[in-house]
Amino acid sequence: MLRSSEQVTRPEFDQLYSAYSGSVFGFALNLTRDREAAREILQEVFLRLARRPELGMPFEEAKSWLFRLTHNLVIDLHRRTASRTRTLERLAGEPVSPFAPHIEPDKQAFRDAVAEAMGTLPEEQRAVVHLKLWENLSFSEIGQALGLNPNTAASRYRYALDKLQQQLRYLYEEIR
Amino acid sequence: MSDFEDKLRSLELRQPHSEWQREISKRCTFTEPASVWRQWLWPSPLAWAALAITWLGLVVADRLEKPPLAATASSKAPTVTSFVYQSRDIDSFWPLAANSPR
Repeated sequence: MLRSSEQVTRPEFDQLYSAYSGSVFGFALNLTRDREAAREILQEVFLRLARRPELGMPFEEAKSWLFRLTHNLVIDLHRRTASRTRTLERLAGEPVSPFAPHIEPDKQAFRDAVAEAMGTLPEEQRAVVHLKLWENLSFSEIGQALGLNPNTAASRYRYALDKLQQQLRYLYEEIR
Repeated sequence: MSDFEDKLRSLELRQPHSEWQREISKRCTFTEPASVWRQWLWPSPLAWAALAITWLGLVVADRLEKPPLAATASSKAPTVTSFVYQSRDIDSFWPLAANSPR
């Protein structure tokens, strides 16, 4: 349980970090495709969590709060860098895949293709797909995390999944 | 969930570097954990306050029920007087005891 009026203790922080750092980082990386940016967002999320634990919230509800904060920080980051986008596109390296590498070439090829296909999705759709597939949130929880109506979240998910299937059909049927 | 969704879901996501936890926690300010005794003896200030009020109420009620001090003193007098008379009675026997034939 996260307490309302006190800062967290060191053991509580370690427990929260162990439970949620992977989810926060994975979500931030999928949205930003930049390892350093995702790292900064991860740091900011847990700094804020350590300073002000949410009000008597059970761990399960804390996850929605964490994703909401992560999403907001990603939006802030994009606003700050919007004016420098063209310069960044010229200077930035390859976008970082959100998926862990695999030693088998075929599986790595599929991961690369999925990462590229996910990168073509609008950020709102990518966020919904990520939270649905890799965090297993319900559309209601996704709506809470992203500030959406659950029906809107469900629609975005269906559109995004259709796009991904169209782009990946050739590869998916090969390795099925 | 469809086969395609299952396939996507099976892809592992990158994890944060293990060193980052130490770096992040260095920048945090933590509160000290409450001592064991404090946790055991002070779980609820309201409960302790209720207990204190109850105790005070019992003390006040006890004081109100006790008889006044004069009545208390006079109730002791018969006991003391009785003891004095008994002592005199006992002492009056000694001369008799001293003069008794052996």
